[in-house]
Amino acid sequence: MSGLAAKASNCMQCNVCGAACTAGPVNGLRPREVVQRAAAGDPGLADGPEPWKCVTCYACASQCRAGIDVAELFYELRNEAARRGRIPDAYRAVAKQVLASGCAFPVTRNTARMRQELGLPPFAVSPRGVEELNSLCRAAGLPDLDRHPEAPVDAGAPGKEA
Amino acid sequence: MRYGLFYGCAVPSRLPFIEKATAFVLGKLGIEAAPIVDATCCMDPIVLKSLSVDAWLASSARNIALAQEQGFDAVLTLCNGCFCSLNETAGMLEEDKTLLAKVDGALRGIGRSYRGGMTVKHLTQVLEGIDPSDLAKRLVRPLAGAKVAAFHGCHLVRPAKYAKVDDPVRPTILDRLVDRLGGVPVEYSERNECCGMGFTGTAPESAAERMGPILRAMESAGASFVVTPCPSCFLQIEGAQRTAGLAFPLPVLHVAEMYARAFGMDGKEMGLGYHRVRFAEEGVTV
Repeated sequence: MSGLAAKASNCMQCNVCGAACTAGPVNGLRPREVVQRAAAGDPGLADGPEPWKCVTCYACASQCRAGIDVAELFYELRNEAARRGRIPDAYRAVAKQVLASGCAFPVTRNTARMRQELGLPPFAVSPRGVEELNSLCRAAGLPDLDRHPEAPVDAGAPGKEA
Repeated sequence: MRYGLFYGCAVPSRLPFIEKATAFVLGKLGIEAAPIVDATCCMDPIVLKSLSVDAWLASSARNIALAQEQGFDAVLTLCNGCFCSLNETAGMLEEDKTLLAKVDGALRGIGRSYRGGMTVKHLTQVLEGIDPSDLAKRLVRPLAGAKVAAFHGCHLVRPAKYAKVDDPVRPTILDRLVDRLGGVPVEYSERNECCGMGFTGTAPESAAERMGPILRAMESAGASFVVTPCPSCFLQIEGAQRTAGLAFPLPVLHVAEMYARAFGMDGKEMGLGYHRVRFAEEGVTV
C-alpha cells in the first residue's frame, strides 16, 4: 500500500470532498468512494475510469477534514495506470506535443501573425530546451507514449456513472 | 528584486496580448524582469503530472534551476497552471532535502543544477504588493465604479499547502485588485468554481458547459467584464459565451491587461482587438 492509500484509511466518509468536487456533477466522480477503495487496496481502481475523471482543481484536498491529500491520490492512481500504458488519447497527444516542442500549446500560424502585429518576437522553446526536457523525462521514467493498452482507456465520459 | 519572467505557453502562443500588457505594467512599476532563457513550458500540471510525477517534478525544477543559474532572485508567472507547477515544485524541494538531492542529481545529468531557495510568485501577488502611493501616481484610467466579476480559478490558491496566495476556498485577492483601481468587485454565486479546463482532454463538451452557469451568475450580478489571473480560465470564459445564453457578451481581461489599461496603455496597442469577445470602449465604463 502506498503512503497516500495508507493515509486514506483515516477517511471518515464525511463526503465533504464530494460536495466540493468540480467533476462529480458532470461525470459522476465520487472522490469519497475512490478514497474508500484506495484504503481497501482495491487492485482495479487505477485501471478504471475514476482516476481520469478528476479535473485537478484540488478542492477536495483543500477541504478534507481528515487531512487526506485526495488530489494527490488521483495523481498517484493516474501514474500507476500510465505505467501500464493506460493513458487516455488526449493526454498522450498533449504529452507528445510537450516532448516535441517543449510546450503544451505551441504557436499557431494565427498567433504567430498576432505576435508580429503586436511587435513581439517569435516564440518557440529553444532546441536546447527541448533536448534537455526529453533527456530529463526519459531519465525520470516518463512512460512510453507509444505503448498502447489492449482496451481503450475509459476516461469517464459525462453522465457515465462509475 | 529581479524577476525571471516565466511566460509559459498559453500566454505567448495563444494570448500574446497578455505578454505585452505584462511588460508594460512591469515597466511602469519599475520592476526589473527578463525572460528566463531556454525555459520550456511549466510542465503542464494536469497532463504531465498525471503521467509521471517524477518527470513533471524534474522538468518543472529545470525551469527554476535556469532562473537561479541566470541570476534571478525569483520566478514570476502570469498563469495559474505555471504558478501551480513551479511553486509546488519549489515548495516540495524546499521541505524535502532528500528529494532536492534526487532532483539535483537528475538535473546534473543534463548539465544543470538546483540548490534550492528560489521562490515563485504570481503576478497578482506583485500587483498586490504595489505601494498605494506608487499606484496612485500611475493610475491614469481608473475603473471609475465599473462592476467587475473576479474569477480566480483553482491553481492560484490550490494546492493550499504550497499556494499560500490567499484563502484556498474563498479567495478575494482579485477583488482587492479591482477595488484598488476604483472598480466594484461584484458578488456572484459561482465565484469559487473551476473553469473546467481539466475536462478538455477527456470531455470537451463538459468543458464548454462548465462555464455556462458561472457566466450567467456574473451577468446576473451586473458585471460589465470579467478579470482572471489565468490564460486557461481566460480561454474557457471566452470560449463558452456562444452557448451560455447571455443577453450581452461578457468581455474578459487578464489581470495584467486590467492594470495596463488603468496605467494608460492604449487599447489598440494592447491588442484588445484580438479578444474573441470584444472589450468595447463604448458601453463599458472603464
